Amino acid sequence: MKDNYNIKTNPPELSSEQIGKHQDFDALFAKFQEAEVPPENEIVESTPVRSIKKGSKVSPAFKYGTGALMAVAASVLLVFMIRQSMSNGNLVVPIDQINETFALQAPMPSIQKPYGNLVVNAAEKGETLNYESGSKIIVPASAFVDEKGKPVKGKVDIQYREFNDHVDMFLAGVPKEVDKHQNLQSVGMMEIKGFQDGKPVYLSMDKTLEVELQGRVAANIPTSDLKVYVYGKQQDAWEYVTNDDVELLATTDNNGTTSQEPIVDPKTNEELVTTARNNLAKSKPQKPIEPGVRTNMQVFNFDINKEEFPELAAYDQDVQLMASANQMTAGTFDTSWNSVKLTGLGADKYNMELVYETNEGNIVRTFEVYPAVEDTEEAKALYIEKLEEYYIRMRQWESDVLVEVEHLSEEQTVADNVNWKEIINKFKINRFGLWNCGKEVNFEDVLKVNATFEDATGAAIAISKLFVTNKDKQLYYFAPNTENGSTAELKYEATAKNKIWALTEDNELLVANNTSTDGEGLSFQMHSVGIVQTEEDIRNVLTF
Amino acid sequence: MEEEWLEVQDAQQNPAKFRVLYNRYYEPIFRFVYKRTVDEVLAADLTSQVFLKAMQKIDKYVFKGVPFSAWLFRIASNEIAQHFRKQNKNRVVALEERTAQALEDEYEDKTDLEININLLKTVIQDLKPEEVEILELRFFEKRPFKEVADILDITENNAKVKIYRLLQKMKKRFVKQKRSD
Repeated sequence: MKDNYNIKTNPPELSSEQIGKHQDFDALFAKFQEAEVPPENEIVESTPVRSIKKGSKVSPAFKYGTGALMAVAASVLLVFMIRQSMSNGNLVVPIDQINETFALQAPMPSIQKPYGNLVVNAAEKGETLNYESGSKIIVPASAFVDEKGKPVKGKVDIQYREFNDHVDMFLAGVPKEVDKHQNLQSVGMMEIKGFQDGKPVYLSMDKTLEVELQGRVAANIPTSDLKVYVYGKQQDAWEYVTNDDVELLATTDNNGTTSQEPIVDPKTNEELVTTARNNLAKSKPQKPIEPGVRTNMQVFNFDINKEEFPELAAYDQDVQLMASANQMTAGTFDTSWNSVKLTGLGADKYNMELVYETNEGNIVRTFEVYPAVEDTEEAKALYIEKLEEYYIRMRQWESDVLVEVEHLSEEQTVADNVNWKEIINKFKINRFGLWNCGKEVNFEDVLKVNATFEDATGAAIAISKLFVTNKDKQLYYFAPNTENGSTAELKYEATAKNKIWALTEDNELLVANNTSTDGEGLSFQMHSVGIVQTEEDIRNVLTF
Repeated sequence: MEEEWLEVQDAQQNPAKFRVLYNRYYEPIFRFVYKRTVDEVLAADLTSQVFLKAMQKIDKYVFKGVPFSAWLFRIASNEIAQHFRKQNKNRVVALEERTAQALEDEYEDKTDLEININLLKTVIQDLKPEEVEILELRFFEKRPFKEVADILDITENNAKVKIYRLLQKMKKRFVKQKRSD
């Protein structure tokens, strides 16, 4: 049999000292900076660079000096964004924000959600802006600067729009590409920009705008999981910013009827597991006690009545009790106590309360006790046997917990007619751009297929971009089909409610009607809607 | 974790601030790599590669509620795989005597099950690379389910299912191999 792995048995262990010998951040940093430096002919002549004689040793101070100079030269010339601001006197140029400025590429520029034009009348004073949806933007005083970092006063125009569903996102050209951004759900998205006299303005480095963004989330998604992301053009990625502070407003059913009844947020998976464990706590197997007495403990005889102390009886071994030797006195053993109470504290620890009744009042002694088993050969053998049984029962118990979690998860499925929760997403933004509230969701039953697209007659249709929306998870994403062929690789959650549509090179809109299997692939029969003129036409074919 | 995210953001702004993360994770990453190479010098080289790559890609790192170390371990795993592919050599798996016994303890039903190190070596040769990775993370390195999931970039439940299935697969192999010996 061919060996697939080179297996080495009992390799020598390395100590921390041996490992530490290889640890050298300075060397690593120098290597990192070497990789950052542009070719020699791009270095500006006036930037001094010390030459290093071949073979000469470099002291740490010299290495840092050279590295720093090279880094400064590189930062002037490199194309990719370096997240730092240059200072010009007291002004801080918002380089980050300038570099992140971008415009969405709408596939059908004539059909787009228009911006709401909100106006801050006096930027130096601040204002609260109210959008028609009920969303709010609270602008603090002196929030804006120009491209040189100079504070802006007077009127500032805020262009703002919200993307509430897949149609909005599709028409705006929101960047949600498969394999990059497909798993990011949206429960509320907004685009916001600022201008004064037609020129962009930016947020001051020390200011944020408070946003209250209207949104909606599927009723079965816990709002505590939701986060806030901003789209980063440089990285072409949605960057996590903070957790979403969500206020629940109302529930909406299939007919669009809202209800103000109290909403119970579904539990997260972690909470479900905790609940399941608590529900099954009584059936959790008891780990047997290893024979032997702990150091500084004293064992004492205690007549364990199985009916009175079932938790001790559950060990199913010859159990006595032990307690810290310095808690035991002669009086503890000599007294005929009137009552004994044992309370479990978890982790094989109990609180023992002994009560002696007198005419002057009760004498109460409490101390912590632990179950103990005498260390004999027989007890050891029994312990090993019990331990094996315990592991078996624990495995079963853990499986039962998973089953209970599933059961609880099904139970907490909201009533059939309640689909959505209307919410307000509350967060702060530190730059203009495209902001999204949601979370990364996992696909179940992901299907990656070679899809072919054809019309009603079976003729192949060439598509330039493929779009998918998953209603259950509030996902929307697209896949560019760079070859403009009639086949494409499609990744989607087959068991969910999906809408699949495409655009041809000429911007003809096609919507998938039927699917059929074709060997290992899927054929999508596409219905042409033609070159669409209005948003209403699109909503008619893309709404669930 | 939130605090570490701030440190990561600092490093994203200023690569020199990566030092904090480097010092914190150098030894764990080294040990991770060493266990998969059993070559101190190679482990040192690959560890250096891991951190260099991490520094170069840290701008792309996005906090998703998973420890930063999980991201580093993933880079390490990829670097190791790449190294052996380039060298056209078999991947190294380090095995200790006590691992065989510890693995046997994982099974409820030990009927016909007597795992020794030679048997384990044989069975490992039949496993896929992803399965070997799970074996190492969970059973050799005793990492909790959550950590295994974070490193493999899957959910905790998924990790549990994969681990359970691996145990069952290996058990069949153990029994079959023992009977044929």
